[in-house]
Amino acid sequence: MQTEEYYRFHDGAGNLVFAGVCLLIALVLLRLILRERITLQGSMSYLAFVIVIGAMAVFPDAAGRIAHALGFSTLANFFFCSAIAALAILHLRALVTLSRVHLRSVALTQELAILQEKLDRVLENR
Amino acid sequence: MLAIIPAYNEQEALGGLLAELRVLPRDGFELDALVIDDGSSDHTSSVAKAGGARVLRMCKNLGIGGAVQSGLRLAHREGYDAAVQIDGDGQHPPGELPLLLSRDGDLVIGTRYRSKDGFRSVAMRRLGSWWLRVLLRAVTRLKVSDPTSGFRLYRKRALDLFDETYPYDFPEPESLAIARAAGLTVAEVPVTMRERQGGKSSIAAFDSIYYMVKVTVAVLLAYARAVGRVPEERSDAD
Repeated sequence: MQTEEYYRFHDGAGNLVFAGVCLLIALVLLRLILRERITLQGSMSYLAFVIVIGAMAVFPDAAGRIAHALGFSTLANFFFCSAIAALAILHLRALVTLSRVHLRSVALTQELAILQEKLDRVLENR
Repeated sequence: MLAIIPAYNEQEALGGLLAELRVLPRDGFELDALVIDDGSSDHTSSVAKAGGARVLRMCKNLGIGGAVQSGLRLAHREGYDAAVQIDGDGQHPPGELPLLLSRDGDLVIGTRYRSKDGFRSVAMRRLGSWWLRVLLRAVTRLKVSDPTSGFRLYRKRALDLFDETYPYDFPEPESLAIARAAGLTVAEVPVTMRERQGGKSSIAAFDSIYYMVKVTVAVLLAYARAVGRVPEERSDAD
């Protein structure tokens, strides 16, 4: 029988350091959004992921209870499992977006070439 | 009819090919030449213009699939009855074009493996072609002897279909699977091909097992995606 303590993070500075790292990543994301290097729509899920794992550090007891309810024997397993799943989903989303952008880029290149050829012919016939 | 000639750094071979097309006897058909300059870094475009062809200049290299689809889209939009794809390296003799026209079918392939004359490509490539033949026959029940041939005639239904969807990765075998899944008739006719008339082949990895795995997956997915797709007919407004 595991004690409730088993599901807890180590209390103290470690949790706060981890939460601080998450906050820092969130701030970097916000800065990139403000500088229009990434779009808000595309980065919302990443932002949510950082906030959730940051919240797990700030509220370790709640995270421990969820882990226990889901059948994880240690909080670390729950943490790594959920982080890997979330990152896999984020990667898949990025792949979908990248493929869509690639296909649009091909279509635009084709349209541009067709229009350019038409324009050249109009100008030549003038 | 529109002759679609995809070309990537083919300045050496293109002039001769266009000269052959110009003197080709037109027996009951008109033929315009369209060169797709797929982001070449040499003088492919200017050679094509000097040869009297229309030129689509891609601002970046799209690969053979994207280049050919540009030509098919233009043929579809401008109301051509048919389009013939001829490689810009001069491997496909324009004099064989009447043979393609002589066969019925929405998509007619010029095959190099039924004729004992002419250029037949290297053994590894023939082995790859054999595997694709087996695959296409097993999956789509299509019997073709040269699934990688780029010498092909697209009639109206094929233009309608490929305006909407044309594969970019491994276009020749994939497009056969798509055509078959959409219910198009595919025919083939023996033609004599030549060795490339200049330039370098852009296919470097054909002999790798990895390539064959990728193309196998691509053909299977292309067929699954296209099953039941009916090509939209061109409207008069187009």
